[in-house]
Amino acid sequence: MLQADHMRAAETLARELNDSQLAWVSGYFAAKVSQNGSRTTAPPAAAAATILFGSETGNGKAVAQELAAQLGAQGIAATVADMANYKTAKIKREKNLLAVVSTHGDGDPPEPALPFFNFLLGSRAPKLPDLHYSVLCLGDSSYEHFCHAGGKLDDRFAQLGAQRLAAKTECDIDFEKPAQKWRASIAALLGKDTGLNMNGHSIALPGWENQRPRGDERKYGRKNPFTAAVLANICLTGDSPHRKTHHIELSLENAGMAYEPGDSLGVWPKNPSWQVRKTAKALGMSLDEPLTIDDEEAALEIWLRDKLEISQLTQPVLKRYSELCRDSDLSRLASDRNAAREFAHGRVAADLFSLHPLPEGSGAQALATLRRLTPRLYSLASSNIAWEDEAHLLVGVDKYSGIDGSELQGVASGYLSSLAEGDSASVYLHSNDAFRLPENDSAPIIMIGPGTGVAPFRAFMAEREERGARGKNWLFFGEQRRRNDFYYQSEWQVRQQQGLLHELNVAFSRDRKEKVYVQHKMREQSGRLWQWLQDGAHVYVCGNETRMARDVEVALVEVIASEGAMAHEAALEQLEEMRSSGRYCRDVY
Amino acid sequence: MANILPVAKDPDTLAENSSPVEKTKHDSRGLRGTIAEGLSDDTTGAISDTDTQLIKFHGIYQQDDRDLRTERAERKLEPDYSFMIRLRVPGGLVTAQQWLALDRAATDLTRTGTLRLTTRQTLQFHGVPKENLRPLIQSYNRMLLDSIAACGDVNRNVMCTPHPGLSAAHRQCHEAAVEISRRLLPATRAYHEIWLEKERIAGGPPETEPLYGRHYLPRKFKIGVAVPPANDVDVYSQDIGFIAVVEDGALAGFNVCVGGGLGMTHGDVRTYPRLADVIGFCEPQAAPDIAWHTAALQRDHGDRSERKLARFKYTVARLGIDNVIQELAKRTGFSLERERPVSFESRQDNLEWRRDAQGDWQTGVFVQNGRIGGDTPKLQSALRAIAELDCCHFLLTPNQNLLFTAMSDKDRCKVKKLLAKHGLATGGSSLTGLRRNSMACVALPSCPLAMAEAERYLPDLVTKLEELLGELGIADENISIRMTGCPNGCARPYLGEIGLVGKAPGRYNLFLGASYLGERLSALHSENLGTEAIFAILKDLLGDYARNRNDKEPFGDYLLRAGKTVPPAGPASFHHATA
Repeated sequence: MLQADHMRAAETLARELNDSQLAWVSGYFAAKVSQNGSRTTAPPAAAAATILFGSETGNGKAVAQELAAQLGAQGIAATVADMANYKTAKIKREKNLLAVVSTHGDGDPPEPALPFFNFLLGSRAPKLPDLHYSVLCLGDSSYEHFCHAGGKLDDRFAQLGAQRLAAKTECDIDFEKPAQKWRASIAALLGKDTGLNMNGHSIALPGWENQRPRGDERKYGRKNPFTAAVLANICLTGDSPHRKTHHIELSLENAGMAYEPGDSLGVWPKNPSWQVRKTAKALGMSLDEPLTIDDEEAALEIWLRDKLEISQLTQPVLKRYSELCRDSDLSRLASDRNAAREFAHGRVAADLFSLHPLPEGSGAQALATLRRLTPRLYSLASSNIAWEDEAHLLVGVDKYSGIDGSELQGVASGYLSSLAEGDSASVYLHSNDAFRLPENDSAPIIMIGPGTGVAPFRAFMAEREERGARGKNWLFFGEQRRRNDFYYQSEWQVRQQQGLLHELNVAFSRDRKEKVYVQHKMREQSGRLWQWLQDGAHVYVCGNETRMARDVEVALVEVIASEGAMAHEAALEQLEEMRSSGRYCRDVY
Repeated sequence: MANILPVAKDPDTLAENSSPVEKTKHDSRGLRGTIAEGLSDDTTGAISDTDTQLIKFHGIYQQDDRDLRTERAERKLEPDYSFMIRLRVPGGLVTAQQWLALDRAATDLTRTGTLRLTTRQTLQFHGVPKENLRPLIQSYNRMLLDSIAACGDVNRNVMCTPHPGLSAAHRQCHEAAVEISRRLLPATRAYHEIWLEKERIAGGPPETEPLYGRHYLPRKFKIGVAVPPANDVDVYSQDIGFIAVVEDGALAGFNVCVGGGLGMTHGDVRTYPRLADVIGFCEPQAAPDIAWHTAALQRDHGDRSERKLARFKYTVARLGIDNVIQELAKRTGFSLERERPVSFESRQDNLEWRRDAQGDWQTGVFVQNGRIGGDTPKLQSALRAIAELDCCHFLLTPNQNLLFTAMSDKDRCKVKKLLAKHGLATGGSSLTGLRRNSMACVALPSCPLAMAEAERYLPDLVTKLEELLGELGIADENISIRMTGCPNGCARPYLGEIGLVGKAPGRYNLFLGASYLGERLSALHSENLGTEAIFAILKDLLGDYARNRNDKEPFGDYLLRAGKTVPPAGPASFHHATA
């Protein structure tokens, strides 16, 4: 049937491609055949479609599922997704999108679909030139804004460059018939013209999409950070007076910065402008004055904003400054560790300069006593596969009072939390090979990450979902109050519903009379924890070292000792063995 | 007697076409479900979907702050869940000591810090976090109060015209209401086990539920007792209404009416509000039996496949009133006598200082939409101070107001002084007739059914109309205005001379033409009105009324006479606008 050289080419392919790649190739050729108009009766392979529904009452979902079944019967692979859980980053990769959406209240989309609508109607929505779509609108014509939400979606897709597969269909309360008609027309269109999406190159290849380009990643680094645009900055804790924790999404588009879950992002902070001005004033200098420190010249504003640590004092700084101003009181204080620490608490460089002023013109010398600003590392809360070209951070803002009653914030956390959408930050990747998901996707994992320590586990879960990892997942989380401090709560709940997060234990220390922490929850689950360990579970701990990770380790040793009926030393030894074999990993700070 | 109606199937078998809620009840092990497990799940402020159906039977609704939904979704948090608890207070009588305990519980254990008097003479806590449910329920249990069957497909809080001290007949009616409430309570111990932590929960011998069986009623069931001349309980809106017949100062018995109910669904013409039919007269002591057997009739013949059509009113309409009367007689073993003449004069509360039959004093305060605390901290602290005197009862009225009763002359002085100190006016005479007769349900942000504002909007609308009423010189006229956030009818809007029923944010359907005494329903006048349009229409109609009304002619009657609206003629009248 084949010529010899074609046969050889086929054999080479068969040898070199993996199974899923082969499967794709077979689909590719099958589609080619049908495209060429051959009379083969083989069904056209893989005209994939995604059916998105937004629904409050379940009608939309039912229509979506019926359409999927209808398409499936024609050999068209259709995936049904709820707008409430749909990963918006995926929309760029969709080829055929059928949307079913109801309208509520005053022309609004269903409540669960609001985030999806906000994304699509907002400035972050990508151009969708490759997308073919059609919208089915459900509504009630007795309302003023009949089928308004569906109409908005239909218009917006067109605006984003997508092509209408079929005109939108508006359904009244008795939606069955028009919906049936719409389904039939979609099925006919997709069935007839599968060549639509079989132009080869733009098809997502199973298995291949997971291999990220790593070529460019050395380009950016600590010394040469990438300028990442801020895509979103959400205060997860709202206006809670107790906690201020932000979820920040940065764009890594064109950075060539591929990363693995467990990696961190280095962030170069900047000092807030009020601090910059306060320091310049204390020095009696103007912001545009050029200044040379260590053979480096820059305007004062640049020094104060980007290069020097002006919001924290340390004993060495006090020492150097006291030598400079030859103040005996300050010298004495700077030589005593406790006294220096006490003095430094709540004081910033400007306070020091004002308390012990130097003669005019010694600004450069004064500033030379300060430390250089350094980058801070944040565990990445995102997976490269799940959110292409994005880096997500979970940032707990350190707040404390200055000596004059002003509110001070940690340099980097304060800086990050102040960024607005459209701002940018200087960042680089910091890999952490000691904190990696098991290579074996069927291995269970136990993740212990109270507070912002939960960040890498969001990345773990997203990565495992994308990989289709079958291993079981268990998360321990803790914070003060569930109502405002349960970071990524709705995402964990979705993963529970999807059956991806098998166990979730939480400890909120201020919600009930007794204060409970993650280690208490671990002890409560002692028997099952032991079972998981017996099943080969990897244990991950991320978060504060002194206030959490130590207690967690004590609890782990106790669990091993009591459940494994062994002496304390033997339990310790077993944990050490887990550590050295990579089954007990910590990312603590 | 031969069977009038088809014999009901085995009540404990789940029919194939049963609605999902029926299945939930069927599988609930006597209303236990997995509520106890849900309470100890700290990962969420909610409980499971099926359990949310079951806690209603314990007087609890799961809700969330809808104002915060979008913001919290962005913050990657679940909705701000909390719970509403409704007490069972037959006839609305609460002691001062009980009031103090309820007030403290509202302050310490809810997020709103408020108490809300309801249109069925009971009290609600709003914004109770899951962790506080047990402590709160235990706190009022210690004061001998409960919330059993305050919601759910059972007999709800039994209403009765206040107050028992007014006459011997009032006292007997109140006692009848309490007895009916007791007779129609579910038998399951689930409430005691789950909330009061009285062991069991699973295992043990099966419980019997003589009235309700395994599936309880198809839908909620409401009973009210009216003592003429007051129709404050809106007796014709009840599934069963008992209208006291007082002869020579004594209670002769009750006229019985059945098949009332106000809820409907926008756009579904199979649904409609309905007034109860009077089916006869019974002796005072027969009332609890009649209530029991009527509920049992509904249990056996109500629609269990479609919840929208499951209220008793649809059963009555489907079976025909004569069949209902015969079936009921078969079940009770006696026939009702011919109804006796009664007449109603008012639906309002008397909030003035006056002596009751025993010579004790009573008075009352107007409570806007029944809300105590929050925006009305002065009212809350005044009521607390009065309760601390421990010298009167607190009586919750069907109009969401509060009466203080059973005071001696000395008590009266003390209470008067306190009221003055807190700047709280009794009597309500300083209010316009419109505000005195205004009523709104809770709606947004906490009610999951609400489509529009009610409690947070009606007071503003009334304020705007009051200006107009003043100009027209009819500020003192009693005109009833009622608003709900959805068509289910908690504030009985179809019995208001002006009824506004929410359809979407800022949009209402306007119902007009009910009688002032609650003996005639209104009809849909116009749909989807915005707030400006509502005001414009009412401005015109009130102007006409001020100019052209007859002496003492109520607003609703005038609207009909002047042809501004038509009386309802069948279900369509509630779905198709006449304007």
